[in-house]
Amino acid sequence: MKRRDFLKFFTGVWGIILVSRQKFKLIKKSVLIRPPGAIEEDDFIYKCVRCGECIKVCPVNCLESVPLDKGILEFGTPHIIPRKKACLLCLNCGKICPTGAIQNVKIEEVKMGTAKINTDRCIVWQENKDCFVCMEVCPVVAIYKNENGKPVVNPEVCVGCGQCEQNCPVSGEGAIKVTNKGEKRKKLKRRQKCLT
Amino acid sequence: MHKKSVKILFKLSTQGFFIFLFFYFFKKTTFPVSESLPLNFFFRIDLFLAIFTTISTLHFTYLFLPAVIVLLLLLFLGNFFCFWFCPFGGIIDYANIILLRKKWKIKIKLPVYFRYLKIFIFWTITFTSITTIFINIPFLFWIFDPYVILMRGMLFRRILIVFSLIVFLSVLIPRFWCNNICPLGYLNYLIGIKLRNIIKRKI
Repeated sequence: MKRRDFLKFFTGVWGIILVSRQKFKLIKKSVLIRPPGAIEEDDFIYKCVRCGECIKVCPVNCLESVPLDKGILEFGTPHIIPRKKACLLCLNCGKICPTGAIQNVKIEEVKMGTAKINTDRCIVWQENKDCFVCMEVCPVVAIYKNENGKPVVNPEVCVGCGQCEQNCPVSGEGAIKVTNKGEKRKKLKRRQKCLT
Repeated sequence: MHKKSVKILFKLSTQGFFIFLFFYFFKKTTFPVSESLPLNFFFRIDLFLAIFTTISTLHFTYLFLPAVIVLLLLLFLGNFFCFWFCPFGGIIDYANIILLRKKWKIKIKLPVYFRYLKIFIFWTITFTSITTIFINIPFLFWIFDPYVILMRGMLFRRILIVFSLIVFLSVLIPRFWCNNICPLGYLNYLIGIKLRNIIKRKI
């Protein structure tokens, strides 16, 4: 390949990258719930080599590979769908990760997200029934009864494991939903990206 | 026994041992994680993953120290990795023996430009990894890593089909994957042969 062709090729590639970045909105806020100990999203998508070790080691199979339609940046990385399977907080994924994308953290440092009760769907809030399944299954006792006897989530205690969402008896979408809001993830010490 | 056949036998048994080790570690990768076995060993010695995750995140993790040892060994011993160690290449070699490739009389000649494919893949990955330092762009380098293909192949059926296709193609065309695509192999060649020769000449 001649030097001129080489330069033409790489200028073309750069052009495609920049245009596709704008066109397909590659930069978007991730809504995925990552395994406990996952480093910050910007680094995670590049540190994770999609080896699947964490998926293999998970005792409850709560980790799933992100499909291509959820985003090409995140494609193949592990995530949790709490409604299907909640995390047991065994932290084995952090022990097996070969690249440090999921770090071996202490249980006190885990914060994958926060649960939020949808009061329109919750049978305790709507029909005054004695349900409280979410309260019973919560491993960190983050759900408590308020003065009216309704379940409420303490966002500071909740780690986002998803046990409440998985066990919620409401059919279809659960009355309690875990999102990655409030997640705490370690950031690698590195240079800030200049164009993001 | 002839000296050459002894060497081939030794090479095949070494490859067989590492293939066994790969599958043994795969089987042992269950809950709870064993503290005594290095279950993620094959990913941690992978120089390709080590270099490109380090470039794209500008962060080196101690977990990749075995890959640094491999780098040094490549400089001292030459490209030992592909033909003696790599379980992926080993599976291809064993598939050739099991399927009796030598008895087939198929001679497929690939066009010459196929040889440039791995160079193209490798430098595109290098270029993209440098770009990811500045902007978030898709960096799918892992789809070319042999151990990722092998590991995911055992987890997901679709990738198992891709893996089987690679092995089948490599039986039809000798070491098709290793000679034409594998960026890890090309990296080992660059370090174990090219860079080693440059250093040798200077010393």
